[in-house]
Amino acid sequence: MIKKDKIKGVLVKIKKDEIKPISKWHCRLVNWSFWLATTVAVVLSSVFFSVILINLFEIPIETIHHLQWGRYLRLIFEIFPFVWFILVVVSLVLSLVAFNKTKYGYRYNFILLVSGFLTIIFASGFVFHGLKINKPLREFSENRMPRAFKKGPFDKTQNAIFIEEGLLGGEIIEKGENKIFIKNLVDEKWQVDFDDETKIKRNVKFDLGDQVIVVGEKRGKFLFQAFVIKNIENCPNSRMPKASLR
Amino acid sequence: MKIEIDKSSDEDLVKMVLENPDNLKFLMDRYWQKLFWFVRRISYFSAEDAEDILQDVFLKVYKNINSFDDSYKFSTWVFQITRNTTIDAIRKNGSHPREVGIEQGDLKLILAESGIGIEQQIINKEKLAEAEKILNSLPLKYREVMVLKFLEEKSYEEMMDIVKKPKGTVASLLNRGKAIFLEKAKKQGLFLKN
Repeated sequence: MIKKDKIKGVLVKIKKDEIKPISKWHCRLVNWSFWLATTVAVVLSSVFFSVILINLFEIPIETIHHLQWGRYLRLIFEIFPFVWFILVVVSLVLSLVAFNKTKYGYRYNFILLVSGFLTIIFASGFVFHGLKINKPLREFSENRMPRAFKKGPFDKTQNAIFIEEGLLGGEIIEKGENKIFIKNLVDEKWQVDFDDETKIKRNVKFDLGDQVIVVGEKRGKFLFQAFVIKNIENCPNSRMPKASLR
Repeated sequence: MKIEIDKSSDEDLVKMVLENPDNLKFLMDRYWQKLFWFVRRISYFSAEDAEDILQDVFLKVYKNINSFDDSYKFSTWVFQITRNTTIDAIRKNGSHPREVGIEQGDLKLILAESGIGIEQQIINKEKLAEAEKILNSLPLKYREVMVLKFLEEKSYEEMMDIVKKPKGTVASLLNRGKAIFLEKAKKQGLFLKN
């Protein structure tokens, strides 16, 4: 009896409150909006990751040989842009949440899903980096965003750390026999010695005003022994601003 | 007409509801009792509260009937809505002492079906009452999958869609639920052997 009354009550309420089923179109739209949110979050995460790649590639990979793994990884840690990394993680989490809200999203194993999304983000990040989509964002962040976004080997605050770890960047202001003098970002004049064992990349002409990266070792106050000398232009991702050298 | 309705599939009834909301009564009639016991087994609600929850459930069924698609069984879909509505009601009401839930008849069935294997060893009513208490004290996430599997006899695929969790998670919840039950049963000396 109660059951019948309750059933009747449902039907009466539907009529009384003029309840109508939500349209199919609306249901689809909700599902699509979650798919769209997932896609947007994954794309954003990939773009943020591609900005991280700019930083990581600023230290030329071939310098591992000279810097050795320990120093190389320490430098990578120094230039690692944690703010962008947090943005990657936040976007990833948002994409997972949005995907979970799609019609069958909950059916997939969480670890499998995270691995899949990370693969997509890494792959697209490299593609975006190749297409240089990340450059405008990086330039925007250079000018408009807080300091934490700007971390890099050519950041003035980090210059000293890089010299200690064996990486010196600057503009050639004088040259002598087997040595050059360069002025770095903080206007210090460094003597850089090189010898037959020093690997000098092809484009390095030692013209005054040229900007170079020197991989080597600090030997004394403002004295540096070079193992590798590269032109800034050899580093495709380098963002060492000329203006800041002058 | 009565015979035709009984023979109709759930999906046919859904189409009929779309033509005329009054036809919802056939679906309600078919599922009311099953869902009533499902609500009672996973919650502490009284019969009256469970009936109220079912009214909400069928209003939601009607409102969302266009979002039902054939890749689900209707029963899976309606169990999913019932589960969500019950959980919402539990949250809304806060925690209450559990007066009902899984009863002794259901308990014997769960013990037999789950292969926990202590039903033969529980000889008296007192011990059965203890086991019932343990089962009802399990967190909802374990109890609901045990109810779905052993009392509602749902497949893993259906359970996955009802509780909206991946199949692997459902399986591990089930195993974990059984393990917790056994552990507590051992502690309380429900086994004759040992």
